[in-house]
Amino acid sequence: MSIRLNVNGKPHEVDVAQDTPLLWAIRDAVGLKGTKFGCGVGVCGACTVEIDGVSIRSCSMPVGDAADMNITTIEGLGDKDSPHPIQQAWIDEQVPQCGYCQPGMMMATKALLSDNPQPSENDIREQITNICRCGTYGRIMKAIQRAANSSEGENVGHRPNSDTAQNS
Amino acid sequence: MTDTQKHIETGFGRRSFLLGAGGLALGLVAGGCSKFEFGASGETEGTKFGAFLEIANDGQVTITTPGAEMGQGVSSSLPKIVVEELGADWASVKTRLSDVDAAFNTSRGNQRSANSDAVTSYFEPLRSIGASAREMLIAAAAARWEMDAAKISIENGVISNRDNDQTFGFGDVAEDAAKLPVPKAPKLKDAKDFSLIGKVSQRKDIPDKVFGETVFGIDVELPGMLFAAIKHVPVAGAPLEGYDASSAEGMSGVQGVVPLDNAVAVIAESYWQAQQAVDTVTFDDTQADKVDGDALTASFAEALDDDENALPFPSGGSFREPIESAELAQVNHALEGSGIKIEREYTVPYLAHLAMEPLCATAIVDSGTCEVWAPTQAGNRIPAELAEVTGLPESALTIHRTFMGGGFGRKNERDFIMQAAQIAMAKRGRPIKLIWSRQQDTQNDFYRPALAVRSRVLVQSDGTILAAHSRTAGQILTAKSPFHKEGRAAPAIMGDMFQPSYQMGTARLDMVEVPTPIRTGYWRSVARSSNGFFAESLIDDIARELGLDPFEYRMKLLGDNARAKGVLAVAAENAGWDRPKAANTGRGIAFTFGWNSPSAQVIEVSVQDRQIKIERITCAFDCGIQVDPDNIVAQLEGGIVFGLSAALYGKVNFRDGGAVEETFAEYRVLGMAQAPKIDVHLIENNDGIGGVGEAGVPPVAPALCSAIADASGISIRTLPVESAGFTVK
Repeated sequence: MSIRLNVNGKPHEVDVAQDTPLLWAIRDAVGLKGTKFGCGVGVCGACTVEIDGVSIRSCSMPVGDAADMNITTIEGLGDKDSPHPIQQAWIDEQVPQCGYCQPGMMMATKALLSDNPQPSENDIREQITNICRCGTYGRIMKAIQRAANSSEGENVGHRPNSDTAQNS
Repeated sequence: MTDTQKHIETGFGRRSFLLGAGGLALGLVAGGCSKFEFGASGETEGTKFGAFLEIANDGQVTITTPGAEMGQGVSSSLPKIVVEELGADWASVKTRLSDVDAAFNTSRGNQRSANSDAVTSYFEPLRSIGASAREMLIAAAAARWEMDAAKISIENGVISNRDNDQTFGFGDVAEDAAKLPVPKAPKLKDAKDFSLIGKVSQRKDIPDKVFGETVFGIDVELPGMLFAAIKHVPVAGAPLEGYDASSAEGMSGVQGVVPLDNAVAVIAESYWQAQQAVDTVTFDDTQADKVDGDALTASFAEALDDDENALPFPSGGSFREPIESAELAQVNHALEGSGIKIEREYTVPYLAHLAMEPLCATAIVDSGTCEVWAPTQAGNRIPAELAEVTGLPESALTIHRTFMGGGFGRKNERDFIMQAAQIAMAKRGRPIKLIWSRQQDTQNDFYRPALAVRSRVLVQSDGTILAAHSRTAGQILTAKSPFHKEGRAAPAIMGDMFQPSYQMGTARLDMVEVPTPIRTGYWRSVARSSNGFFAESLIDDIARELGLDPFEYRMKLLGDNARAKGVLAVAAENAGWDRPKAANTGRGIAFTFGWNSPSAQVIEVSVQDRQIKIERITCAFDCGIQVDPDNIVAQLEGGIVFGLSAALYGKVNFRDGGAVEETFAEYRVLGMAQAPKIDVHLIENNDGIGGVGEAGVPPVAPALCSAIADASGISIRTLPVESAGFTVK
């Protein structure tokens, strides 16, 4: 049965079972590989995407539940020509090592900053619960603070409009 | 040029890069020789040729990194070494990953990312390649300008001369340069003239990683691709006997069931269909022995008394010039001398790797060829094994190495690659991507082995060690090291069990091997991951028993080892070792010396009601020449977090034959909430070069336990810390 997904401002019809985790629909049916599989049980956060402004672990959400909602993945955050302030902060702080968890980290950050544009260190520690095995937490902390400061007065967590959204 | 051209054309997906007509390519000529030989594309007709460096006619410089990128930064650090000597503009240089190709082997015949040796193995040859190309470009420019090459220089990608204001780009002379002979002994820069090495550069791989564009092993996509999921027999060491896959066979999208040596795989149209189907597979109760963790721990403790089967290991010195251990009777006699006798026992658990990217590999096998895409630390070890699995000659194999979502030693094993090929053989001509679930990844690891140690020392009241004996009990690694000598204990377990830097009297190391069916393998920092804890905890216990300051005591034991004392002193000074401590606060210090890089850490903790808060970690490190200081800092920060996860929480329990832990839910690792502030201080030193990637790990556990003991009076000698009844804030 076909399910309508709205990913990064573009509609997609995906032909997968309703109970398929959204993660695998995004990766294999829509074909956006930036969202990662880490644990499949919603613990590590590598699969984090934003749905209608809320950070969601896509490995633990059936695709049927996401039909017609606005899903943003890392590919929709920004691109090399117009990086999102979070992505620019990640580059400036040279955060990634292996980089596998970082799309999820950045998507979790986007949701955090849209709720709380100037989070304290404690807010960040409590609300960024994704796992990084390379141990980049110190740099993630600095990058989140940099992203928050780089955009004082504007909402870093804003949703991209459809003409800046990336898709493939 | 033909072989170079072919190599490039078979490169991976969007990363492929085609040379224009002509251009210059430089690489190492393969041939298993004991030293590197250089060749240019034109010279190596008919020879297997791996181009490290290519300069296209449009001037584009592309460097292929011989190392596999798992996060340690070799896709930037190794190319940077070439560019330092070449004089190209670093910002416009492109880098690319190498496939499995003997042309990229080190002088020891290895192509693999392990043992923190990428920079140290390739430093000189990569400099020579850059310098050779530079001399060839200058010679080509000299011919065009009809002037003395000595008047020509290269900087930031521009070839200029002292006589006129003309310049050339690399592309202007690349084709001419390619026709020139390759200098066999190019002149290298003096280290003091380095303009890139020693400076911070942005990593080349980071933008793709930030925009979600990096192709990891799990992201490989090929036309007509099918997916596979896997379920292993849930008993360590058990082969596949009977199984029932009848439910799986009829499920939606399923294309086949493939029995493997110790597992069953299901092929389906999508990964999720394959995973759901393989979850329904059941196994007959196996006849194999079912390992039990508690029983193993008891057997290790018993083995510590087994004098008869204890294999000796050098107590110090270097690999080339080992200091042999004293005989048991001799060390026993020495231990009975006059002085203070101290005996302590320590244990460490089995540890899993849990790289963020679960194991995966993609393979396509047809009647005459096999092509594989895998996130792998291994290189030269793959072809022979893959040839055996597929029945094809090595010349029929093409093995692409993708970016890895972490490795930590697990992706140096080849099991998942061989499985992908075996599964693909069941659907010849179709590419198949095998993805392990996280549960399968955690429960079918090659674990860091659990070990028990008993250490006995005789010391004077000033801490002078008159005699020392440490015995290890446990299993060795599944893959026997080529350096493992008959009649001696395993180096991958025993290496640096005593700090070779410390002065000791009569000393003996030995090991009693306790075979188990559990698979074991390399884990970031290998033997030092355990031995840093055993050796430094012993030193700490001596200091505590004698009332000596743990920092001063180590400085004394290091004698005149200035480099080692340097890092220890810098760590202590920056951590404020002598500053007064707040109530319930403790500081611990540890020192390890591996990969030619001394590393010291001071950890400050507060402990209240068995709740630990890590206040900060101060690290001092000396790896000699720093190819990229910021990346070195990043590796140390990462190594420390990796070591801390293990020291605080890491433990794999075995019950009913298999690992109990399934995911990050049960096998806990450090998160943002507990991540401490880490200050890294790099020692300036251009004398020699050492490894980095693993060096942050070994001092963490002993420094942490030392700090906890300082704060609470409780000495933790069995890891993880959590199992001693502590929680982490």
